[in-house]
Formats: sequence, C-alpha cells, structure tokens
Amino acid sequence: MQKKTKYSETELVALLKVKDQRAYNHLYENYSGALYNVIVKVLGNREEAVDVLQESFIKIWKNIAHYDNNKGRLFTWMLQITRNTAIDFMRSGPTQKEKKTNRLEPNSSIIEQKNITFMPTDHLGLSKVVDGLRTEDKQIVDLAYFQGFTQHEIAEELSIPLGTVKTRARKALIQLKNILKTN
Amino acid sequence: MNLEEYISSGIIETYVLGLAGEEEARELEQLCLQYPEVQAAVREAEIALEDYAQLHAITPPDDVKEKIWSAIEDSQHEVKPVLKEKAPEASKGIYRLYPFISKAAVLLIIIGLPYHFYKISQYQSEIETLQREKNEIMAQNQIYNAQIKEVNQELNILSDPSTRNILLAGVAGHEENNATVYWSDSGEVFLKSSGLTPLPQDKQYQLWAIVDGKPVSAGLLEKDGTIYLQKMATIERAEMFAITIEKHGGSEQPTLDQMVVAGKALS
Repeated sequence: MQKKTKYSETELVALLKVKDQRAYNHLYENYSGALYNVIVKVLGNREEAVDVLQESFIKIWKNIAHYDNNKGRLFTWMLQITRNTAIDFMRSGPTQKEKKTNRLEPNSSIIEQKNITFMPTDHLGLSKVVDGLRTEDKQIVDLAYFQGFTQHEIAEELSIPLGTVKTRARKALIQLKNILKTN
Repeated sequence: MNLEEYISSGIIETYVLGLAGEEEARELEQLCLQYPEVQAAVREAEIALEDYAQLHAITPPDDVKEKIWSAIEDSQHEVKPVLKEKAPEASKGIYRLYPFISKAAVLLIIIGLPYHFYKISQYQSEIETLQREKNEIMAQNQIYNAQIKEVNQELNILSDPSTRNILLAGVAGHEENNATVYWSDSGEVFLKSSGLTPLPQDKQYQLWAIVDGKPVSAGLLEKDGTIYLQKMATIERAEMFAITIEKHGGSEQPTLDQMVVAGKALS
C-alpha cells in the first residue's frame, strides 16, 4: 500500500470543502496514481491521459461540496468522476475505434510495455494480489471498476452470458477481499 | 428482510462494481441508511476495491502535480473575471434596446389612449349614478329616522297605562268599518284607521270630537293609507269621537248622515 495517511477521510473532506491546498496535496499524493491508472485503462495510455487527470481533479475540486459521505467513500466518488471524465473524453474523441482494441487487453500489457517509468512502486503487493486472482476474475473487476463497463458490455466483451457476469463479479470481489485481508 | 441473506446475496459486490441496476442500487442505498450492517458491508467492499486500485496505481509524470494545481487555481479565478466582463456586455445589449423599448411604449400609449378615455367616461357616469343613488338613500334614511323618532314618541304615549283606547265601531250601513282612537292624558289623539273602506279621490274622512254636545274637528285623515297610526289634533276634553265622510279638504261642520264610525270616550 502506498497510501500516506496524514488525514482521516473526514478531515480531508473538511479541508477540501474549504479548498485548502494541503487537501489538494494530500489528495494528489494519495490518489493521483490510482486515478491515473483508471484513465490509462480507459484511454489506453494516450498522452491525453494527463489532460484527463487534470480535468478530473478540477471537477473533483469544484464539486467537492456535493460529495456526500453517506453515499460512499471519497475515493469511490473521485474514481467515478475520473472514470466518467475519461469515458466522455473517449466518446468525444475521434479515435474511438482504436481505443476499443486497447480496452480488450486484460492485463494492460500495453501500459507495462510502454510506460515502464510509471509502474506502481508497490510492485510486490500488486503481484501477490494479481497472482491470487484468476485472470477471468481480474478481467471482470477491471472492466467494471476501472473502465465503467456495464453488465451488457462485459458480457459482450468477454462473450459470456449476462447472468454469469454477476456471479463472476461477485466471486471476484470476494476473492479480492480475502486476498487483501490476508495480505 | 433477512439482512445476512441480503448482504451475502452478491448485490453489494455488484453495486460497488457499478453493475447493479438502477432499482437495485436505489434499494441498497436506502438500506444503507437504515441498517449500519449493510453500510459496513458496502464500505468493506469499497475499501477492497480501493486497495485494489491503489495496487495498480501509476505515478503520473513529475510536473503534473504542479500543473494541475495551477489549473485548479486558474479555474477558480476564471469565474469572477468572466462574470465582470460579461455584465457590461449584457447591459450594453439592454441599452441598445432602449430606442425600441421607448418606441414600443409610445405606440402602446397612443393605442391605449382612446380606450382609457372611453373607460374614464364610463367610470364617471357610473360614479354619477352611484352618487345619485347615495343621495336618494340618504334622503330616504332621513325620512326613516324621523319616522322612527316619531313612532318612538307615539309608542311612549300608547304604552302609557293612562292612554285610553277608544274603539269607533261602524254605524248602521257601515258595519264593516271600524277605527281606534288612542287618547293620552295630555289630550294627544292618535288614530288607527286601517279598518275604514277606501274613499274616492274627491272624498276624505274627518275625525270629530264631541265636546259638550258640539262637534269639534280633530283633523282630516291622510289618504295615502301607508300611515298606520296618524296623529290628530289635540283634544283635551270629549264625550265621543266620530268619523264622517266629507268632501276633499274637510268641512266646518260634520255631515251627520255621512257618519261611518263612532265611539264613546269613557273618562
């Protein structure tokens, strides 16, 4: 885990709501990597990924007043904003088709090849988890969580029945929880 | 609802992965508010995914942190200048419209004037009518007030125990007629004449008091028939009262064969 917890989520949200730069620093240091990954997953490691990250942070910053911690964790909310920004970017862009093939890569091998300098620092933790997860479980989580695919899109993408998507998604998440617990 | 069953049904996993249907999601959000257990399960799943996402973190290029911060600051500063610049432009637009607005206003006034004059004259005649009606009502009111005052005085007299009621019964040939004289101690005479047959235009009833065997006129009866009780001449002393039919305007002496009613004044 690379989380440097200086503030509790409540404190952080409070700082964010008064638009304190310390809050931004904290947010960036703790979450930019995870959010950047989501953008890269959706965009397929395009150079615009940085622009989308910037746009996402601006949206997060501007909309922090609307964040309601009863509805979910701050990260979940930020990830939704980031993912939607990235998906919107893809839909408005002219290179949609090219993108589709990139999204199919289950292990994001492209990122690992081309973007070696941006690799996660906590490589050991990742490989443990990734090793623990079956590829098909990982695919589901990645498509749904990182790339915002719907059930239908996943069923189509992986050529599996609709009902299987749910069952597998559930198994994958339970698996994931267990691995993270034992870590 | 069995919470444990619900929590382990897979709905929470589906939800946090963003795969739940709208209805399922709404239901789950509702349950989160009601049951801390459900919310805890959702949080746990969220944390698992968050950790998973952190494991995949890719550090963005070095300069991005500063770049985004200055973009955030710019985006915050942008808001105010944009408003300041736009405000004068908007008002310029309105200034440009002033000639049109004033022309339209003049046109409206010109079109509207005849209508206004018409309306004003209509209102004036209405006001005149109302004024007239008011005057009439006021006059009527004065009459009523005077009458009420009068009637009150009469009522005082009539209700005085010392006031005598004298029934004037119809004489032979006029049996269907009658009248009543109310005669106070101080000699005031009131006559109720509703029991008398109406007369032709040229005739009039006249009341007589017989004082020491001689008839004394106590006045002519009003012919309009609306007066319930008529005040007659004051008679201090009398043995009898009688009413005769006389020519219009009355007579000095009663036409005795024209006597209609008569009654003894008992003292």
